Amino acid sequence: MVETQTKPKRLLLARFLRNKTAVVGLIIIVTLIVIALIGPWLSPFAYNDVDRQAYLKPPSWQHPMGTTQSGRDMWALTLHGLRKSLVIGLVVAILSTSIAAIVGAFAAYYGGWFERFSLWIIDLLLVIPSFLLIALVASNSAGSASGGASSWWLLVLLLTLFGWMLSARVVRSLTLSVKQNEYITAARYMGLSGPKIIVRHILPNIASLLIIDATLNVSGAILAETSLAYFGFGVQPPDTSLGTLLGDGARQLSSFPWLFAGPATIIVLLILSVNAVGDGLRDAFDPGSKASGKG
Amino acid sequence: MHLIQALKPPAKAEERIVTTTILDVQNLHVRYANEAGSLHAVRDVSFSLRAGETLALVGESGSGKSATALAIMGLQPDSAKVDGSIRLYGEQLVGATDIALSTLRGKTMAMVFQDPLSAMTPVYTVGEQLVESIQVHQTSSPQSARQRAVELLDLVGIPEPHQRINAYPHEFSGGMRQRVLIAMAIANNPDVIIADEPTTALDVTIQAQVLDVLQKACEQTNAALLLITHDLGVVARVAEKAMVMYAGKIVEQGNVNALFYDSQMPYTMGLLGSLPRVGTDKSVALSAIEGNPPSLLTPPTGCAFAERCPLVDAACRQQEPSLTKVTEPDHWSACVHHQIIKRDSITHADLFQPKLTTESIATKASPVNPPDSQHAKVLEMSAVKKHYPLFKGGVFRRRVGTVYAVDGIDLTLYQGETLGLVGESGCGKSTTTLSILDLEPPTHGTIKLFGENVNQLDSQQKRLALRRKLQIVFQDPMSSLDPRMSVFDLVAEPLRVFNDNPDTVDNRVNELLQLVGLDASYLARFAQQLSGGQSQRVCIARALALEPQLLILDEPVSALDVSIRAGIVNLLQELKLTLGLSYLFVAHDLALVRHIADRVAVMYLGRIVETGTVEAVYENPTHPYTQCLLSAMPIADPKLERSRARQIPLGELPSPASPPQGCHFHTRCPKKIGLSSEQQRMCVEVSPSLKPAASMPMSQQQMPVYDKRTGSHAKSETTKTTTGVHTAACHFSDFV
Amino acid sequence: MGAYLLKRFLNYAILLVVATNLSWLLAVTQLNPRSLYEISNPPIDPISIENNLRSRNLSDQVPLSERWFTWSSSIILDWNWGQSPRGGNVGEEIDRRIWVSVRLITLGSLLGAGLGVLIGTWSARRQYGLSDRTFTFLALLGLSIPSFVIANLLQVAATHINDITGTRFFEFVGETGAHGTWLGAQWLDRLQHLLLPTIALTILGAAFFSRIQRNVMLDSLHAGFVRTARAKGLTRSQAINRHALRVSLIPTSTYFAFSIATLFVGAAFMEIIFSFHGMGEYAVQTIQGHDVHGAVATAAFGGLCVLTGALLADFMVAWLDPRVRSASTSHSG
Repeated sequence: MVETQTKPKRLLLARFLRNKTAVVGLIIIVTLIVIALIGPWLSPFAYNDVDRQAYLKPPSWQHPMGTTQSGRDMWALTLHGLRKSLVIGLVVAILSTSIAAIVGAFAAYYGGWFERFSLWIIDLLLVIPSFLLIALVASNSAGSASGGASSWWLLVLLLTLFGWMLSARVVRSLTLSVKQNEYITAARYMGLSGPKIIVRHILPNIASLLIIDATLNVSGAILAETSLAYFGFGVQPPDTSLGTLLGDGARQLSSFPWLFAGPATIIVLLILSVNAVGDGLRDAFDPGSKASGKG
Repeated sequence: MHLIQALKPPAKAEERIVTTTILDVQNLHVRYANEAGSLHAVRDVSFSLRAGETLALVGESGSGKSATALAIMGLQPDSAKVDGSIRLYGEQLVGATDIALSTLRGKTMAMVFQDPLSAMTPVYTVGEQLVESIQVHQTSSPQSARQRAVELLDLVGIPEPHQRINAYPHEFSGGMRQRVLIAMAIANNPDVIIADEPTTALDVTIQAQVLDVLQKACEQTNAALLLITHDLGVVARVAEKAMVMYAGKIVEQGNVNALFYDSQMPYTMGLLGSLPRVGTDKSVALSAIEGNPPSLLTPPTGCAFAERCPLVDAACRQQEPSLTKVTEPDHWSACVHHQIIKRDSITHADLFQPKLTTESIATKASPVNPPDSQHAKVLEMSAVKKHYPLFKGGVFRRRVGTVYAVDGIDLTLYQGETLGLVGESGCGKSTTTLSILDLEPPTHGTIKLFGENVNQLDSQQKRLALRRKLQIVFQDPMSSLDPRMSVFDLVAEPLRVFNDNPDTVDNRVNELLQLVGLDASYLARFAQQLSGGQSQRVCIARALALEPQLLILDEPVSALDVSIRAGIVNLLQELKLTLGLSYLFVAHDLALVRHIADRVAVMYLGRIVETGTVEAVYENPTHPYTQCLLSAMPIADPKLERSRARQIPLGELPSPASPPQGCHFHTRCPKKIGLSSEQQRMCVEVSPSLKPAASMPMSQQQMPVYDKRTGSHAKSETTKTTTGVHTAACHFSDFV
Repeated sequence: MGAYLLKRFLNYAILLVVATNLSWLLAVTQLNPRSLYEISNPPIDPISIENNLRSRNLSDQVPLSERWFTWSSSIILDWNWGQSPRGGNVGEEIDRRIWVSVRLITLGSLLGAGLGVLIGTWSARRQYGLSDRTFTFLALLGLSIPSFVIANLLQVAATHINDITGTRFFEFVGETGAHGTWLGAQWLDRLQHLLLPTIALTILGAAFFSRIQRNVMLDSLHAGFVRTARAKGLTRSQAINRHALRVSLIPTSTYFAFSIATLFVGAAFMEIIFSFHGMGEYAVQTIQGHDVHGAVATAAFGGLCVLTGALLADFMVAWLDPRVRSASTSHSG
């Protein structure tokens, strides 16, 4: 109708800033990331230092969040766990959203056998109880001596492998609707090849969904790692993540609450903030539609 | 309940005095709060509606006509603020509670909405929704309410209402759903019916049927009708009085005849003048209104039309003119210069001189000989069929048949020619264009482009070389421009695909924009920052980037506002002549096709039923379907529109998945009834082929030419005898 | 219709067979039942370890193909899903545990979904109001807390209440405990044991479903048919309750159908924390206990749940939505 003079990006920012929960969430996330990055300088202890004077001690001046059974400083452990959880969340989110974008867009654009095959693989991966399989592989690597450093990478790969399917389905259905637009037909009749159309016209037009999806995948991955860790299938000692700390702490919750309270607060804050930012992004990108990709 | 009794006179409809004012709107303002600020959608609108009267509210999109209707019904969104006065039988509706209004809605005032699919609840049957309408206001038993629902369905022309009452909305066609919405509106014999674009989504033949039903419904209930539409033809046909709305204000109102034949406001004149008409000289370009309506976020201080008005002077910008009575009995206009207009009898021809006639362009342009069979064939389709598999069911999806979208058509397009392809939605027009553009072998038959057989394109290179020579402009410019790209990138894209010299791309893009009448300030804008007309210009520039020889125009103006259309049509005409293009022009608007095309092909259910030069087909329509189309098309000329006899096809378009045997049109043919049973059997059994049409001009009674100046029906001057190229696929085309 | 359903079942069967075999391959290569015997004290003679393992088709010295053949043929011929490393039939174990899971999740998931629909509808009708923002935030919070944290916190709170009141009102170990002999005492006891896990499941379900219901409700609140209903003379509330709510329940029910099936394995936290010996607990135990056959059978059961959920969701849509139920036609180019 009448041209809108407001710049699109400005409008996005204005809409996002209107959502106070999301803004607070963003501030918390940034703070947490900063804390995680400068973590080693925030504590006199390294996360794997053992204080032989303090086994399972409640919070004190020296150990503000107490110590564990093996005399490690909870504050240092929490900082380290936060960093690991953030890395896992981000890497899994970026990888799985990328896979979802590529598979979903190509399947929808080309259709035919490739689409049927992709959908079948998606179905198969959904039918396999991912939790069990990740646990299977993770428990094996936990048992093996090589654990430690390599195990969290394995975990990232497994979480990615079983984390992209629902997003791919959403990408596919969105691509199908973007494909209805005449600018896609026009591009085809201009002589653009399929992959170019996908990269230049389809993916940019579903970018908002991809950003939202990646955001929610961050919290999804952190939650998944936490759940696995509760059963001992997560990041393996001596390395640690928030999930691992939380899993250990939950078992001794009534007797030694300090092992639980710190990691639990941080992880709930983190996930809540990420989810809030995801909601804020969705409202900003797509104020008309209230339909969400994931509940 | 007590409210209604208080409001509504106990007297029966026929006892009411005809001049009773039912609805009285005074100084209505509607403001929408949105992110960009407050949108002043309706500005100081006043009018009244008397019993049994039909009043049309005409305007383009965004003019505030729907906002007015919703405000009257009290159904405006929560973000809207309504001020002023709306009185129904004297009772103030502005500020009334939802409960109070709900006793009036559906009972005293009813509404027919535009989009009949989304306007009905998908999970309830048509019958359940109708029964609900009845039972909201009447205490009647389920059986009697149901009986009444069947009667209503019968009244609005739903065949077999006893069975169809159990159908769900999605099982009805668009036209049938619109009829059901009308049935719901009249369920309680309302005194006012507000119809918001009730036929906009429908095809012309269905539109004609539904308008009939709507008029009949109003007669039956003796309800006053407030008809909201953008289509001046519909106004001419249905309304007694009309109001023209522009930028939230009523700019002219009066009797329909006065409004159409003696327009006093330059905007109204421009609107009427921009319409292509059957019966005008097609060598004269359409008169276009320049520019776009103003943004209602910041309403103008002066006259809202000033920026686009040829009569504008300083006085226009000082103060917004209010409605003034210009002629008796009741003709009002909001124009600073209304006295000058009246004194000098200024008409649209004085104001909106078309800049260029096609002749003047033709002399300027490189001479292109008139098309004839000596010319090179740009496109040749022979016996082309395009069939699709048909799937059924959402969850339980399976193939159940075949859609005969294009079912054996022959088309030839010569260089420098415009071929119009006409038909209703679902007739296979779009499939035809896409099957040309696909550059893939069709299901059956051959497509030759520039002499090259598409079936034999063996290399990618050949295909790309052919690609450059043909381009398309789509119907919806918003959907055909990638919203993430700037105008520059959009127009440059085809150049980049074909690796044209990157240094020249800048120049070429500028050149192309100039060609379509946009200046360089648009280069950095995005599609959403353009108006519909500007977007379509960008689409045309993009299509021209590779210097194609054949341009396929798929309903290029039907998504645009009336005042914008003429400018695009003129641009296309001009480009064709200066660049020597050939057009395949697909449209459902017959008047437009007559204006722009040299030859025309009429399509019905995948087949071409009539083809010939525009003159031949329009003056002597031979196939009954063509006759129906021409007579169903509303003409923006009240006297002519009301006087002419109408020939409307029966029922609805059959599914292209199961086209009727024999002549595809026989199920709807109004002519078939007059045939003997032997002849009728032939229609049903034998598929007619295109054969030369008898050269008999159409009776002047049916399609006279109306001369605006003299107000009389003059004889058409162009009664050339048609040659053998005029063909029609009807067994009994000679039969009168 | 019949042919279509058959095709669909066939496809599901293939998916399930492939998934189960993949799980078997993974379990066989990743789990090490031999380690269970090797660490025992006093040490067991290697030959008898080998014999034990062989008798249960768990020896890694038998070629993979032979183990696969034994495993799959016993399923096909006898519907025997094999034995755990310590003996004991996997199938019998699962038969018993399924019902434990059913008893655990039924009440909680129904209450969760019901409460979620109520809250979501309420919120949508008061979009951006105080109650909407509060509920939206609470739902977000509910989805952001790991479920075992919720369960553990509930447990701590219940312990405190028990301590303060000096009663044993909240029970949190197992399905049943000591109870009186009077009529209904047994049922009351069961309900007491169910109380905490049901509260936890209700919180989780309400958080999830309130978000879904709010979103779909907002869509249908602004739909054209609500306006039509009001134009007929229905008040806003009537129009919303009769039209918008009914339409919005279609997608929500679909989610519910899908989610209840997947809860069988998904409620592992509740089972472990509240000592319900159901399928979720079994899944974890089999992996921790190097129980190849148990893990595979659980995986197969989980897959079956997902497929049942998908099918149930489709039937739900077909049942609730006439557009899907009747044969709407579409064609693709």
